[in-house]
Amino acid sequence: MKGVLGGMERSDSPGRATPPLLLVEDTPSLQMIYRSVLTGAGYDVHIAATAAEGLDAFSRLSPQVVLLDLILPDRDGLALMRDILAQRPETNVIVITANASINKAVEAMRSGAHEFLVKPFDETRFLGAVGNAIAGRTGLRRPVETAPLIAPLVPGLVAPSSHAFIGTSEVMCRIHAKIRSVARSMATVFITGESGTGKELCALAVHDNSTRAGGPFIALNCGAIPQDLLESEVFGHMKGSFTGAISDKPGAATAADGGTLFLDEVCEMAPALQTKLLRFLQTSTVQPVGATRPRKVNVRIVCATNRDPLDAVRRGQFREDLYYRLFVVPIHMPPLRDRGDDVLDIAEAALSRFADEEGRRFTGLSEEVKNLFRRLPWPGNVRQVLNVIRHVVVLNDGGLVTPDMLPETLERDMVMTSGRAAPALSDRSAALSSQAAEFAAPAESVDTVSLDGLIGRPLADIERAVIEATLARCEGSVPRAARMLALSPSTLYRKLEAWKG
Amino acid sequence: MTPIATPLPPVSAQPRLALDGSVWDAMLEAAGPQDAVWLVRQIVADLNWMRDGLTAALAQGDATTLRRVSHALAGLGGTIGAPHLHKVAQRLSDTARQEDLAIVATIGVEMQDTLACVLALVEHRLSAMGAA
Repeated sequence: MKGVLGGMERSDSPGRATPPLLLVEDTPSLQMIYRSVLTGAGYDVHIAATAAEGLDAFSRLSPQVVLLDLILPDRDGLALMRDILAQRPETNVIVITANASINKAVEAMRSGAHEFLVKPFDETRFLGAVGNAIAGRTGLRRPVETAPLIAPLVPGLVAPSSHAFIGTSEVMCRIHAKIRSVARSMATVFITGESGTGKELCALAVHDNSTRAGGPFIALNCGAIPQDLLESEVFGHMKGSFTGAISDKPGAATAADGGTLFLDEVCEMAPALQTKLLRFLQTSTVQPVGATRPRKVNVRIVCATNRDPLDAVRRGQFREDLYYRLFVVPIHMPPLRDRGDDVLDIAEAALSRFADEEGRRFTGLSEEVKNLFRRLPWPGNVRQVLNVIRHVVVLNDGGLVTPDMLPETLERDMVMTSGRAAPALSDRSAALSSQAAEFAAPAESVDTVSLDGLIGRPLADIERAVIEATLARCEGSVPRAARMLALSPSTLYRKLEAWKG
Repeated sequence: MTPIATPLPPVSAQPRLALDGSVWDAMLEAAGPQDAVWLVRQIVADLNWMRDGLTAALAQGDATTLRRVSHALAGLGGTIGAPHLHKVAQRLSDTARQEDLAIVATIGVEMQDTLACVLALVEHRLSAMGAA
């Protein structure tokens, strides 16, 4: 299709020493719009209107970043992307499309897309995605999953094992050394750590430092997928094998052939599937649901949990033989409170990144905020820091970050055990801290909450006893206890307040 | 100023068909004053091409072309600040993918009407720029 300005490859090369970007888009007016935004931001943009032109331009220019429309006049955009990545796997392809279906997004990300943008997108989002791709950062994680928000990769190369981790604390240096050491072997890696400590980043770092780095990295959250679909997600299914199976599906284990399969929240896996996983580990074969024959695959397993896996075994929730099969090389991701000043490095990097995305200018953290961040226990770890900084950037115009810019709920969310009580940010905070500690029954009383002890008591007493025992189990952490009880933290806080009254 | 060949639709009666002024203005601002006119001319050309492609594909029951054209319309419609055009085009694209030609025909009529209105609005703006 040719318009006023034609649809052939054109370049805007202002003579600056910027790496070329390739834009493959067949609608001329959209070519003009995207080009004006990108050149205005200082990028050197080359344009192709068809898949054939795009592949030719890619071969000549070797751009680091390709912006690719999914529907092109001569070929499917995803097929072109696969050809591009086959030529140069390190290319960052940003897929752009007007089709917002989650299937398309999953397919694009699993095929190796760096990011997925849905038209129409605003300038800030567009430039943010391009900026991330140029810098080698990911705005979306490489594999798409349905898990709750996990901390995106934060820029800043600090340690050689990964471009994603930030911080130079001694404990993280040891983690990097361990990652480099274990990455070279085929041994299964079992990553533990609180929520938000970077377990998936760790898994990615293991993959990236291994000989399998060129292969696929497939992540699956065993806690986020309904259990009746998990077997199909892991091992695939054949068309017609169950209601809704309208086509063959390869499954994560097959998709990870030649690479790494990351099983997050592995302790949430149902017992029946644990048996199949064990067989998979023993035989390296997968048998999709409905298939008559198994198939051999070459996969390295990395798994993770924020629970205590041995405790899950003791409770009969996790097979002991599977535990020993998986728990070969453990890596424990330290909580942020044990990482010294890393919290400041992470906060400042996030401030810089989010400010760029939102078009704001912040000069840094005030000394007061830094001292506060050092003292806070951060039960949500890195993810919580990122949420706080995002809040600051979105709701303020810029300048130095001062305590009044921080979220009001920061105090409440920092309640932890009395042994690591949050600093008294305000009278209310101190009251909440002592409340949770007061209601967190001593550990030795947990065993007294047996079923016999509950029979004959009013339901309200039973509820309180279970909640207190759970708080004790979670060392007074209300957010953790709430997760365990499948309640929202605000519900739990309301109950604590009510008992206090 | 060149007279407008196509009468404007009564926007007050169909407010959902109006262009989002803030999106449109931001798009022109990004293009810059020198390229703004060229950009709007190109948008008119693209919308005309898409209208012709849509008409032919609907007449022939060509689902493949319908998917491509409606996808392009969805992208362009959303980008220039025509949210209703964007939504109808997305619906048409989804339906064309399922190849249910009866429903495609129904949505196709709405698509043609919406596109005609948006095209008229854009041509009016081009005319107002003194460059029709």
